[in-house]
Amino acid sequence: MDLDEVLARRAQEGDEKALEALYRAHANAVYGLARRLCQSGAEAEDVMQDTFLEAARSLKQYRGDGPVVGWLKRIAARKALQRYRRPRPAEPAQDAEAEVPPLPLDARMDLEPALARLSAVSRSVVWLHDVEGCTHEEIAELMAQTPSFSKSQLARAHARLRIWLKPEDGGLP
Amino acid sequence: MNEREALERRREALKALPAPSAPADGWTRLQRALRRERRSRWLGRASLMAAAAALAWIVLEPSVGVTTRRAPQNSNLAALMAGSKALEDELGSMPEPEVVNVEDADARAELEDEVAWVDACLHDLGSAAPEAERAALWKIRISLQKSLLKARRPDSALVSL
Repeated sequence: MDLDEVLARRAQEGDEKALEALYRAHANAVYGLARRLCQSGAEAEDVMQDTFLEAARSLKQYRGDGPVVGWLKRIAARKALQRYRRPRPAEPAQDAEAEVPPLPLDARMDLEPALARLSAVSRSVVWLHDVEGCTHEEIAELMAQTPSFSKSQLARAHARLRIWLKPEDGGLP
Repeated sequence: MNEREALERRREALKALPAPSAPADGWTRLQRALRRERRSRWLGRASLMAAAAALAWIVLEPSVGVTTRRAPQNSNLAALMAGSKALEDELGSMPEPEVVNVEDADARAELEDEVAWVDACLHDLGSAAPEAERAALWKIRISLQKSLLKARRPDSALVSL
């Protein structure tokens, strides 16, 4: 049994120090994911807090069948993506984003701003698939969509990144 | 560089992005939220207890609805009130606690808020309210005062009431 499992068991029994230790061990990983999936730092902080609140409530359901950090990240991803199931008036429409023309070489951007330029949904799919290693089926379940939706979002996002990024970051030569 | 290599390069670049750090006060905020949750669960249970006590009084008190006669103040309620007064005096005689850390200060403030909430409920009920209902609230008040006493002086030996 690893340290996380011991802490999770103690936290299940109401030991707040154990919960704090779990928080301190995994807060950066959970916040890092939330920050990539959310539009702002404030939203990511809300998602992180909601994630640990839910984890504290449902620790009894944690069976130790995978790493604690993976369980926490799944909760965080579900909470972050729930926000995109509701209509968001401020969100740019996908079609408008598709009309962005290819950038000349001297206007190509670094990865961080290019990622921020993607819609929240596209960015989330890219991050979950390419960095977190989620399958399209898992992403579809988190987003209440079909795997085809996830695949098409990923393909479109990479097509845009290819146009926007400098060659050394994987953009068009 | 072909498209496959470009895709791999993008993925490697994504994985190499620096990870943002969680806010420094994250645990303190989470702890407050956890306490708010526990408090609201506690208040829910306390309300249920008071409602159950009132219901028990209605069921068990044969004179209810028949007469406006007030039940005589029995020794149980009087003892609870005296016990709470003794704890109040004990708390009042203690020096103002030093703020050792924010969490402990928060926990004490929440207990004080809960005592104030019980007082407001007792005030709203008034002295004409069913005795069992008032007794339930006085029991809650005593339990909170004991917790407060413990929080202010963790090594105190409490005299059972």
